[in-house]
Amino acid sequence: MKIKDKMDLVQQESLHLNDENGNPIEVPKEGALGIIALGYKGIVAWKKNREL
Amino acid sequence: MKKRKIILIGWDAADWKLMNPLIDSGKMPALSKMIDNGCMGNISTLEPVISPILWTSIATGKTGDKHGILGFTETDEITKTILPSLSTSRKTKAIWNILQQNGYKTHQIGWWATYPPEKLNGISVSDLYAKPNIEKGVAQPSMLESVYPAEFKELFNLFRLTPFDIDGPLLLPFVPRAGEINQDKDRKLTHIAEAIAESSNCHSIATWILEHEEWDFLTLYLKSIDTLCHRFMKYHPPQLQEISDTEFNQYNQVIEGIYIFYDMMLERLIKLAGPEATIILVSDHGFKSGNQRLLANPKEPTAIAYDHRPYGVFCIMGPGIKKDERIFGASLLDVVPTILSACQIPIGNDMDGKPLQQVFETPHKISFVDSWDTIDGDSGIVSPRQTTIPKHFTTKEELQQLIDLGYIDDPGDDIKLAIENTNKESKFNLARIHMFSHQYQKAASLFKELSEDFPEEPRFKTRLASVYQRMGKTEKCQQVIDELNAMAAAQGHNTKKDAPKTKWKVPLHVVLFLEGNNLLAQDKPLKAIKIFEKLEDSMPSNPRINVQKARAYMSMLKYNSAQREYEKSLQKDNENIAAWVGLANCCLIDKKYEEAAEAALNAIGHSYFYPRAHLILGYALLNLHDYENAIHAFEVSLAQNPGLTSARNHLISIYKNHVENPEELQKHLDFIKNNSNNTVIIVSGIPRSGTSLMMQILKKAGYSILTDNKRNADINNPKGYFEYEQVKKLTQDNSWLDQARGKAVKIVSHLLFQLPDNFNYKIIFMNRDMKEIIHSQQKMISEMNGTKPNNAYPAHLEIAFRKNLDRVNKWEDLKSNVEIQYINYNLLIADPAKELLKISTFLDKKMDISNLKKVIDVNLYRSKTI
Repeated sequence: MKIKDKMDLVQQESLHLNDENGNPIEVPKEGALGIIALGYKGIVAWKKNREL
Repeated sequence: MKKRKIILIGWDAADWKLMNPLIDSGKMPALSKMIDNGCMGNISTLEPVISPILWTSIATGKTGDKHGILGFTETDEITKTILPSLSTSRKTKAIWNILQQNGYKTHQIGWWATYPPEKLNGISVSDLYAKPNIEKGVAQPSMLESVYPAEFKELFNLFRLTPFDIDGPLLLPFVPRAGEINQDKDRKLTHIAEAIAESSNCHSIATWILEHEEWDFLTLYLKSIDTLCHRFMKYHPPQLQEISDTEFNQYNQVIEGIYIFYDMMLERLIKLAGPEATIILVSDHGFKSGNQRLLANPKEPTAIAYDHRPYGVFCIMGPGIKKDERIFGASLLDVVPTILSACQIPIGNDMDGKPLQQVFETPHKISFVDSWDTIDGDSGIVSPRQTTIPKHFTTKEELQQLIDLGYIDDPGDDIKLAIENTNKESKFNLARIHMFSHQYQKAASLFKELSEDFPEEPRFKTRLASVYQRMGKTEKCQQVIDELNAMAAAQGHNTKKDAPKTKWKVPLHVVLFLEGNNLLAQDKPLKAIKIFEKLEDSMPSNPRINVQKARAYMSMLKYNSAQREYEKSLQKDNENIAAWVGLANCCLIDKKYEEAAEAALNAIGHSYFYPRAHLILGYALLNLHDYENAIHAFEVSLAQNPGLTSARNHLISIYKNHVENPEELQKHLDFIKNNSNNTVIIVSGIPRSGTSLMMQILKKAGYSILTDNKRNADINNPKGYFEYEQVKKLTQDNSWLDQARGKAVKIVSHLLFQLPDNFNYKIIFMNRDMKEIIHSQQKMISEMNGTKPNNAYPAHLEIAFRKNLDRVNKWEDLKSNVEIQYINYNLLIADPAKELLKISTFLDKKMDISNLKKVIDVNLYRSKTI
């Protein structure tokens, strides 16, 4: 997979941020340490939500 | 064979002392889970406590002199500039190189001294990636080519954070009253934001790799506990007198906040790694908290390291790892051998650590190679200067964070001076590494060079004096102390109005401390005490001074005075382990066994890895007839130091006389039988007490004798003296003792106290009628001088000799590695068989008594008193 495809995949993954039980995780616009601690998925989801 | 998947996580400066309360109150659930499902313990750091050196030691299993990273910065000889320490300066393979060479898919994120990034078969992210890259107040993408393969940088920038992303609500868990802070005047919130962003930038890459890339081994280093501790520990509870209520209330949750945040990240990594992975968490050192905090450090480069505590954290969890176990005696150098052992890959013989076999449910068979550095293979290691360093990299701004934190001095605009300073610090650190690894000669020569090249800087001279002291070179040590005193005196004159100001003040308290210790090393305890008293007047809150005073009193056998000093030390610092052990020892001598046990338990409570404390505890419990607990205490002391003969002998005695356990008894008897090569047999006594005769007996019994035969036989000892010239220099140099293993050597009684603790000594001590000894000595002196014997009886000599004998007796009680068998010379002549049998039993060697009796020539027994 090329880097461009990997970047697209990251963007797609961030649309579906779920917890262990498959329930969607709420990402506050102002961010949260818990979201950052989730790693790349949490940060990309937060950045996206912030731009909305 | 299935490869073991391993994640090695580094939390700079993490400390159990700070984490334990958080774990207990449920604020660090991920770490709590690791502890419950794995092994944990302290990990001892190395010297000097400087992060790039330590983290490279963790990654290589080698001390700094072998791995070559010697500080925060280095000089680029080609461009004549100052750079952060580079991966190209590392002289040896790191764990990621060795594992890659063995077919592991390896990834490395953020470790110190990894720029330029190495060409691993996985992803390599250098230490410079995480650093916020701010230019003129605007956040930029990650700097330079800090990622390999470089194309990943674009991907990683998608989830890269800058301090500007971390604003109000994200800071509230660290600073609940952040809204009250005027950020134009107070930049502390920015520092917290930088710390969160920096850690997140490495953590998020790790999460991406674990989800998207093939991986067998991943290292992740996170710096922010250390940076925030340096900036905010002074605000951490309990409140220090010097900190205002306002500041305390604003910032007292920062340290707790960063630990909780790190635990949240740990939880995510554990989940992504899956149950088949082995997770190792390690820190390079701890951080002083509570009343150990220093508000002001000495004025010298990297003085910030004085904030560090010598114990970091180690925790491991995974398949085949013991659960809910505490381990002891781990060192930073053990991490790589332990990982290699877990992967069943040979350990390099050139590594300085050992595998922590105690963490495995079934210990692996260990194999070795000479060195991984000489085994070719695709390791990904970057050769020196294989990568060009971009020109703009070498600007002062790149080093600003290190300068801000106090890790390095501002190099200023004078590049020549900056290069000189960088090289100086590298050399200084190398000398300290040599000192730590007991290569005293090398350390002394570097400290000497530095002292000569930079005579105005007292720190080189204080270290030189200290290393001379450790080498037993008390005279040279005194010379350096004299030089320091002369410098101090000159600086005293400089306080006059017209005198130039000096940058480097001689630390008088350090010099006095050295002086006191040097007197103690020269067996001049009274003079040492005077120095320590003077020091105590100027530094009344320093607990180490009282410990040294106590040691001086101990050497004079003044146990009550010693006890008082240990107690004083503990009043000042209740965590002073040396003082607890000293106090336990005093109570033991005073036969106050309950108090001795309590003091030993206090020492153990603060530092479990302290074999002598367990030994004292065992001895106290033995005297309280608590045999089961005494066994446990002796067993722990032996687990920590198998060479403690005294503990083993006590166990043997308990199993023989009080607790029936033939298997354990045999185990210890076998150990002694199989490990006698660290034992030195010593024949001792006051001169002319029959020591030469005993040496002849041992020679006849088949023992190797350590002698240089320099002193020839004469009329006073017709069969020879069996002496070894080096013995006389024992106070200056004890390196020759290595040659004495398993042999017999003659050492006069007044030198016994200088024997180092790293050997076991079986001492045959000759007693003889004191008047005979003195008469024989006088006769010998008159024969040597060709004068008439002095008939006046020197009563003062007899008193001195008797004091010496009393001291030897008590010294044995204090030493766990010393056993003495007293042999009476007069009885040996009168009834040889009985005394020779004692020797045979003591040395656990079958001897032909009738053959040995032939050595004893009654005609030579010429100084009878009757």
